[in-house]
Order: sequence, then C-alpha cells, then structure tokens
Amino acid sequence: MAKILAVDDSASMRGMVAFTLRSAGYEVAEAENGQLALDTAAASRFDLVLADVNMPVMDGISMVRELRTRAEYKGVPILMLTTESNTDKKMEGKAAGATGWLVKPFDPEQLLATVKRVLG
Amino acid sequence: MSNISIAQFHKVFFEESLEGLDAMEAALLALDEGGDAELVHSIFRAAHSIKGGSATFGFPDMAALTHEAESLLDQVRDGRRAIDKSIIELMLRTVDCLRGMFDRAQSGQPLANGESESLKQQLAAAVGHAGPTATKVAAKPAAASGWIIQFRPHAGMLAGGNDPLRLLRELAALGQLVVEAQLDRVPTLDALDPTECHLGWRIELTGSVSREAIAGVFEWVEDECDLSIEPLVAAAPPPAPAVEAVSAPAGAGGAAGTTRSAAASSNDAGSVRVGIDKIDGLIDLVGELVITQAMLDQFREEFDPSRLAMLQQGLAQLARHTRTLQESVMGIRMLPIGSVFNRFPRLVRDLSQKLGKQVKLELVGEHTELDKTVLEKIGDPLVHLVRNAIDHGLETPEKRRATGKGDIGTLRLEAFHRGGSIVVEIVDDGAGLNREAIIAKALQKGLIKSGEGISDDEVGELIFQPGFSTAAVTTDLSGRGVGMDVVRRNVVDLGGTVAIKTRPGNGTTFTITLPLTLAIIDGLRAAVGDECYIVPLVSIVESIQLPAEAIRSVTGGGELFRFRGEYRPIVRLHQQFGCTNARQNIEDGLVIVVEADGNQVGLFVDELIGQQQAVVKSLEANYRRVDGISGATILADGSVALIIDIAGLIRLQSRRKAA
Repeated sequence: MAKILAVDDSASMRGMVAFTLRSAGYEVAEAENGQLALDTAAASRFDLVLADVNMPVMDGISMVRELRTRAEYKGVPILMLTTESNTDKKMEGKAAGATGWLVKPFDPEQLLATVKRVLG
Repeated sequence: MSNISIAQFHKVFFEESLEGLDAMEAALLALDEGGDAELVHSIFRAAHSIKGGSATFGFPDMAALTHEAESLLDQVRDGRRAIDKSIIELMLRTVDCLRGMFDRAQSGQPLANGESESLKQQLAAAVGHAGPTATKVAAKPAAASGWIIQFRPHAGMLAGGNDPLRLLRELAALGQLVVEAQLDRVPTLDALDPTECHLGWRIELTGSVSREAIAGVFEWVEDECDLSIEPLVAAAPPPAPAVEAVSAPAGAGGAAGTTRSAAASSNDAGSVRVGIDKIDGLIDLVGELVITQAMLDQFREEFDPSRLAMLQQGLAQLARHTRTLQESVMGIRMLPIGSVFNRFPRLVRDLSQKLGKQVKLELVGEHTELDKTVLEKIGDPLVHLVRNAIDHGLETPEKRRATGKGDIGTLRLEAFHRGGSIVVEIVDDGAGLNREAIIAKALQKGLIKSGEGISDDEVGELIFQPGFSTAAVTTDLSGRGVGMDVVRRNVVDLGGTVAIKTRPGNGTTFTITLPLTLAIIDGLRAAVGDECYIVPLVSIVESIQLPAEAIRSVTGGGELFRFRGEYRPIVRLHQQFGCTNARQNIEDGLVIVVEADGNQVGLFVDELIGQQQAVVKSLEANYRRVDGISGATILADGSVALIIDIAGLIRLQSRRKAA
C-alpha cells in the first residue's frame, strides 16, 4: 500500500488525516512542520505528501519548494491542505511545485476521495 | 464514519486550540509593548489553525468568528494595516470569547451568543466588509449532451506530480470518451526527455456532464496546460422535452473506507500528552514496587548468613532501580509552572489599567516543574494573591512619587526549587501591610485581645485568620483583602504552606511552599497502641522524651509542654483516633513536635519505628474523608497505616480548644 506523509502543525488535524488514511490501509508518517517533514521525507520515500500551508519553523510552501529540488521527489504528488478559497493563494503553492490542494474544512470521505484520485 | 472518526479528535483539538489561544494572548500582549513582525505571524498562525480545525471538526460558529479575526490579521501581516491598540483590544476580546466558546463546546452547549456575534461584526467592520461574507452561489450547471475538450499539458506538468493519464481516467468516469492524441509536438528520439509531456489530446465527452465537473478534473492543472472546454455542437440540442435526462451525480465518487481500530498517534516532539489515569496507573505500579522492596528488606534479618552479601547487593540494586523508576515516572506528571504564570500578563494589564496603576510584571523561573495536580490547583490562589497585590499592595503613581518611589510598581512572580519543595514567591514593592488598620480590625473582630507587643509577622498572620476578611474590609482597609484564609486553605490542602513577610513602605512578599509531588511522601512510622501512623517528615521539627513534670495541665483537660521557650499543646494520638493498648504516661512514650501553618503541637505516640516512603492512597476515594488524616498507605507487612494530616489535626485541636 502507498506510503503517505502527513504534515500539519495542528495535532488534531494531523491525527484526523493520519487516522483516516490508516483506516483505509495506507501507511502514514506524520510531521509537525516543514523542516521535520523534509527530514522524514529524506529518510524514507513517500508516494504522496499532504501538507498544511501555515506552520511554524518552516511553512508548507517553502517545504514543497525544497522537496521539489530533490530528484526522488520530482513527480511525486504533493497536496496542500489549505483554508484558502482564494485562487491566488492556491496558486502560490502550485508555483512552488505542489500538485494540487484540498480545501479545509474537509471530511474523511473527501480526503480519501482526493487521495484515491491522486494515487489511482 | 465521518462523525465517529472526527469526534475522537475533539479533545486534542480543544487542547491545542486553548494552547493556541494562550499563545495568541501572550503574543498580543507582547505586541502591545511594541513587538516585531514574527509576533503577528504567530498570532495569525494560531488563529488560522483554530479556524481550520473548527471548520473541520464541526464548529461553524467558531470558524466564522476566527475567519474574521484571521482576515484582519492577514491585513496586518501583509502590511495593509498598522497594528494599533484598538486592534489588539479587539483581538484580546476575541481570544476571550473563543475561550468561552471552547468551554461551551466541551459541555455540548450552543457556541454562538450575543458577544460572539457582535465581535464577528466588529471584526468584519474592521476588515472593511460589513456583514457576513458573501457565500458563493454556484451557477446552475449548464447541462449539455457533451463537450469537446482540448487539453495540452505544458512540458513540465509531470514534475509537479500531475499525471495526464490520471486526468483522462477521471474524465472517463464522467461519461463516454473519444480521445484523439495530438502527436505534433513529440520530438525525435534523441531529443526526447521522458520526464516531460509532449502530447496533447482532443477529447469528446458525451453524457449529461456539467462544465463544473469537467473544470473540477482540471482544477489543479489550469496553470500547467492549455485547456478549452466547449459544448458539443455536433449533436443537436434535444428539442423534445420528453427525454429530459436526469443528471447523474458528477465528480469523484465518495468511497467510504473501512474503520479500523488503528489509534492515531501524535508525536509532539516538545511536549508529552498522556492520559492522567495511565500515569496514575504507573504510579500505582511503582508503589507496588516500593512495597515489594520493603518486603524483601525484611528477609535481611532472617536469612542464612552465608547468602547475606548477595541478598544485600541485590536489595541495594532493587532500591536504586526503584528510586530511579520512581523519579522518572514522577517526571511525567511534572509540568512547567509557566502555563500558570502565562495568564498573569493579561490579568495584570487589565487590572492595572482599571485601577489606574502602573505595574511591571516580572516572571522568573517559568520552567520550574510542578506536579500536574498541584499545578491545576495553585492557579486560583496565585490569582488571588496577584489581584490583592495590585489592588491593595501597589500604590497609584501619585502615591509612589510622594514616597519617593518610581511611578511603576513591580510585581514579581518567582518559582524555584528549595530542598524537596517548590517555592513560589509573589513579591510587590508596594506599601506593605497597614499594621494599624489590621490590628484595629482584628481587635474589632475579637481575633486579638490587645494590640500591644504584636510583631510584624504576627500582624501578617492575622490576615490569614478565618473571619478576618469580609467583603467590607477591602473598602475601608488599605491592607490586603478578601479570603486570605481560603488561599491558605487551598495551599494547605495541596500539602503546602503560605508565609507572609511585609516591609512597611517597601512591599510585601508571599511565599508559597509546595511539595514536589502528592503521590509519595517521606514519613516517620510511629506506633500508637496496636496501630501504626505515618507522620510526614516535612512537618516534623523534633522528637523528644518528656519527663512527667514537664507537662502542664490546663483547665478543660488540655496538656501543654514547654518547647524552645514556649508552651505548646500536646495531642494524644491514641485519644484522637481511639487506639487501644496505647501507652498512657507521657514519660513512657515520645512526643513528636510537628509544625503546620506556623503552629506547633506535640504528638504523643508510643514510639518511632523508622523512616519510610509512603505511597499515598486516597482515603476519600476508597472510604470517606476523615479529619486529621490525609490518606493511607500500605506497609511492608501488608497492613494499612494512616497518614496524619498535621494541618488538619492542628485545626481540629484548636477547634476543640475553642469549644
């Protein structure tokens, strides 16, 4: 089963995402900011990264930008978990290299549908 | 599934949000004193997290309020608006209001109230759009019999994680596809980069599909491809209304996953969140270990001497390990006092503004750790003391100037270790206690017979007397006010003490001494007849053997003994607790001089058996509250010994004396 990295500084949000995905059989690793996510992503290869935008230490946008410079993460889907319905803000993530986004609030079904959509 | 799996994260969400609100408040207060941009970012992040979480976890009222707060913060963050006092004030009120909403959410009450609605409007007005945000009304989907889609990805699309094949599959899920690949841009093999996209497609999609559904498929790649979506004109629009197709639900199907009992773990690097019952269970276990060790200890005296050395070595090791384990487990329960201190900047700011005083708050030793139970219960007494210090201790700027002090009063909260205790000091540089007024009040209340020869320390003690403080006192007395006896009682209930030192004209210091933990105490085991009691070591001043002639009997049956130049009452434990077969003559037994709240008494016991660590078991939880007893413990032989509550016993004694 696919390996997913969930990055969010909010423990409840991260917990919900991880629980939902694990329940669906995915292998999930968690990180609470962009910096820790980069370390985790270096230690093991993930098939999908789900990342919050606003985080302390390193935000999601910077994390994506950095991740895309690594050869092993070229082409790996990265979705931003964003509360922005504003297109400009979503595009900021895309410009940094994100694959797409999932707009908060989302429920477990929406999350799984999106993940399945990306992972096929 | 969504309800079940989401509700289980409510607790974590509440906890992290309340922490977020604390952080917001602290940052707002720091900003009030001229902070930097990073503070604005951290406030924004906290608001943003709460907004996202509350929307996700089903609290739309909270999400609506934080949305407005976030919009305002966003303007500040982007430099579109300068931060000023009014914004800070508005934000602080929002923080308070959200705290109330979280309180109500935890007890399942409706979240919104007049205050939250009014704040929401004030925030919206500040942002510059009055009223609720306009909800997007989706245009009625224009159904067509089909669409022609021209889709040509830019060369770099694959690198961003979007696969054209996936998009085609999603389109296929919407209806019937006829796909025609456009190969005109495929380079020759030697120039071909396999990580790039070179193909384009003309796609004919037939079926009752809305434009939005198709746009949804391409939502993420609009900027990475050339795309056109045109209605299929070849097929004539159906003029006959007879076959009005019912549009099937479009979009990706909502596949429900199966719920497994995989527990969600959160790995917060900085903090440990463990259920308190689990920790209590661990502490119980350690308690058993302590008992086992004590039990083993007994073999030392009745064992084959040839194996003694080995046994002793093993026992020494067990003792060492027990202690290490005990300490590390206790450590889990320990939390920094900073979480309590953090509420004071706000309190001090609000109170000093209201009273027209200038107060500089100094917090020292925020990292000092305290038992979680102690920490939870020490907040209220501290708030009381801080309030009193600002209300009655510190003077107005005019008064301070008149006495040659600076305009700004200083209030220092300091926590530190001293021996096996934690000390919290509340120090102000105000006027100090008003000796004359307190003595006058105490005389009037009948707490003292005369005001002659009363030391400053004794004056300080007076304010702790029950009955000294009444609501009226605060208004006619410039000393300290209401309910100091309650403060002392709260601290004593935690196994601590409160002392006061006042320097007329220079301020007052309250010193709260608290035990490191409530779970295990060091005590002396004392035999009284057939029973055995534990006397907490911290309360013991000295143990003495008294000759019969050292005892003075007083009318009413009381007994006194002279100790360090003063007469102290004797409490016969066998009488107090109704023990049988106890020694009756004072000279046959021992008197343990104990102290609590500055009062000393002598406990008359048969003999002292030895020192021991007592794992405290609650008497209230297992039986009921007993005056003069703080709990029970299990001894090495499996029997139960009661732990004496010295402060309670002294209160009992003085009540009996008064009766």
